[in-house]
Amino acid sequence: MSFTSPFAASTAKAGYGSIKLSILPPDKPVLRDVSYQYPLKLVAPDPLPPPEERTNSHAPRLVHTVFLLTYGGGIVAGDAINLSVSLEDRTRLVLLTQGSTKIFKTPDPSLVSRQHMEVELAASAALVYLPDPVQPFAQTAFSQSQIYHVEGEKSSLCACDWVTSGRSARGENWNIHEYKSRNEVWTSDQSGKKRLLLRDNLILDKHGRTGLQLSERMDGYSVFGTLILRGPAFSSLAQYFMDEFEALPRIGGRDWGDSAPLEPSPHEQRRVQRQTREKRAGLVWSAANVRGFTLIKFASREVEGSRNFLRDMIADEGSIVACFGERALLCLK
Amino acid sequence: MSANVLSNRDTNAQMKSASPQKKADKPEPKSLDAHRQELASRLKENETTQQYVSPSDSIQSPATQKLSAFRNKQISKKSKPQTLFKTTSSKKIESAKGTAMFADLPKTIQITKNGEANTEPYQQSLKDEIAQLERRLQDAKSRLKVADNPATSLQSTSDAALHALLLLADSALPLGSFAFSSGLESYLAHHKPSPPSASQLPSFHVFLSLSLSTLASTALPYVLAGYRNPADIETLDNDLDASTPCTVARRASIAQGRALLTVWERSYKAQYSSTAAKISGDDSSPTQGSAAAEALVSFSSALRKSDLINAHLAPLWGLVTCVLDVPLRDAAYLFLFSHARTVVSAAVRASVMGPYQAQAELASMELQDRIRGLVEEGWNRKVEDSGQSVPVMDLWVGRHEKLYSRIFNS
Repeated sequence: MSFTSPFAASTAKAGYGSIKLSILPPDKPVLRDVSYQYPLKLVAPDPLPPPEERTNSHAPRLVHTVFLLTYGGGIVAGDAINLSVSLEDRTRLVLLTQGSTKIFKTPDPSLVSRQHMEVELAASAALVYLPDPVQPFAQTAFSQSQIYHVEGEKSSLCACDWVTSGRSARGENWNIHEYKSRNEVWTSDQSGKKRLLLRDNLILDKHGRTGLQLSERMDGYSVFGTLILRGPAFSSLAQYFMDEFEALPRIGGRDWGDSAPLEPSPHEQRRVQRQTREKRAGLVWSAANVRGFTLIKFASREVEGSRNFLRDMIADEGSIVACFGERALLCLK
Repeated sequence: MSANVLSNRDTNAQMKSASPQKKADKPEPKSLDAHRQELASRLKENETTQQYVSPSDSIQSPATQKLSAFRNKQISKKSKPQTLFKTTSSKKIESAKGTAMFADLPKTIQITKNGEANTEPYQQSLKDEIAQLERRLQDAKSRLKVADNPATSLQSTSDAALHALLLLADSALPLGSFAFSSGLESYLAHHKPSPPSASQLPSFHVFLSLSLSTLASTALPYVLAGYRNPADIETLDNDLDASTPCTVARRASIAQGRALLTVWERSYKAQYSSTAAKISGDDSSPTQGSAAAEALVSFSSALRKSDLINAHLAPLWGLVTCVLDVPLRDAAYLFLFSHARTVVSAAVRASVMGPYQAQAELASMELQDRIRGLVEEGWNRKVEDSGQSVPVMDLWVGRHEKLYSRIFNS
């Protein structure tokens, strides 16, 4: 191979990691740097050519995948993970996890585990970050932040951030001390002044003066998530979400049977089937176009409900699979 | 006649608090004599002068004694009132000062306890009272002097703040808020009562507390920041816009923010920008209010030119209250209270409750405590740390668009 060993440790700080994806002229994307320190571990399998390569001459020849792992499959109290990712122009990266990120019990609520990810997206770069959900166990304190810096309108981003109520099999239902998750997208103008494009900050803690337990505040849902879509690589997927949201049956409306076409198209049949599954799983979702982003918020009674919803929608639409390969949906299987 | 009625009442009220005295007396029968003596003298006094004071007023258990001595100290201390209606409440105390209040009485007891005036306790108390009254007279005189100079008067500025607060507390403001239920309508549609006739009131209570919590965690930091840093208004507006994840909430916030800006321009500006200029001219250094007024002017002109500016309600609320010179704590309290009032009034129109019950909700101690607590909690929260504390709220608000029938815009 023409690139240096990805295992050369350039960072010495515990929990630090770095991923750099660049283009080797003329057009070969390579992982220039994959370094990490305990307790973080990065695994980069061989890149695969995207299925669409033959049809689209602009697509990069290879799509890289990196798995974010932690020793022990989770984050122990007091751990701090700090990952920086940078994608050069015309590169594509898929970031995944292997199984849900477990957050382990903390001896003291003030001891907060942290995970921080800083992503630089050059123009025309595209990132798919579809991890498994974060699973904070009872009595945990966790705070994570994903900060994306995009360049212009053409940087594409598909990032999912979802969290579950804990080990439901053990009766855990949001028995956490604290959970914070922050997603921010920034850009800078010509003068170098930073501007916030999007902030999605979830704060679950004891504040709020509601007089309610955290589990009551959640209205019976045990999974909450946000999917952020932006840029040309995901515009068709974003449009698909918006269309499907528009096609949701009205809440409180009655079906008199006169609006249904006599012979539903295969697409409409799939839609009806999916909506039936969503209803059974107690899944609710909403989609909105905000400031050049499409934000999808979803919640369900069980993890599988949300997982199936995401997989159905993304696979039905098909553009992610076409541009990034089947691997991109590994965490939703 | 009224004096008699009052004295009767007083006796009853005081007797209650004095009841623990019996227990406390037991180990010390000697003090009973003193009390008896005092009682007799007070009785005589009462017959002749027809004072409101009941003889038993002065009988107090040691614990009550200490408590009222402490209270006395607190009241006679010239405290700076922090409440919404500071002038009225301070006036009340002022007018009550002439009469014999609970605060005056413990003095006599303290002396009897010392034992030095056991024989003539009442005389001593009178002397004490005279001294206190003299002190108050002096106090009032000195305050009158201050009040004569209106430019520096504390009284008039706090009156102005109260006036501005009452202006902003109008139920018409934020203009157009009647069109928004802040997710209540969608929430009710998602929580149909199991027999359709069952009351939706319990679930409304849950919603109100969640909605206030959300507002305090997402928008309140922007109110505080808008007030404290008027110059940052454009950044604050942009950041709040970036943090509002759904179209419905965004629409509601922008509509109300623009309405507030229009109210400022058309109705308040003429009055308040001149006062702000006058004050800053006197001080020869720009006050916060005039800086805010400038920021407001440049913001509203920038709004017409730029597509990037949205005019969300929260930072503008902070800015406008700053210009109107409302104390920040009151401004934050009013912001949350207005929201609660909007939601409650939406509940009336969504036939969750009747108008009387709605007023009871707004008057409830629970709501007061909650709002005060939320202001306290959010006081030092930075705008970067604002975020959604009730994730399902985003879904309810976002899914409002999917309701079959709607009477609100959010």
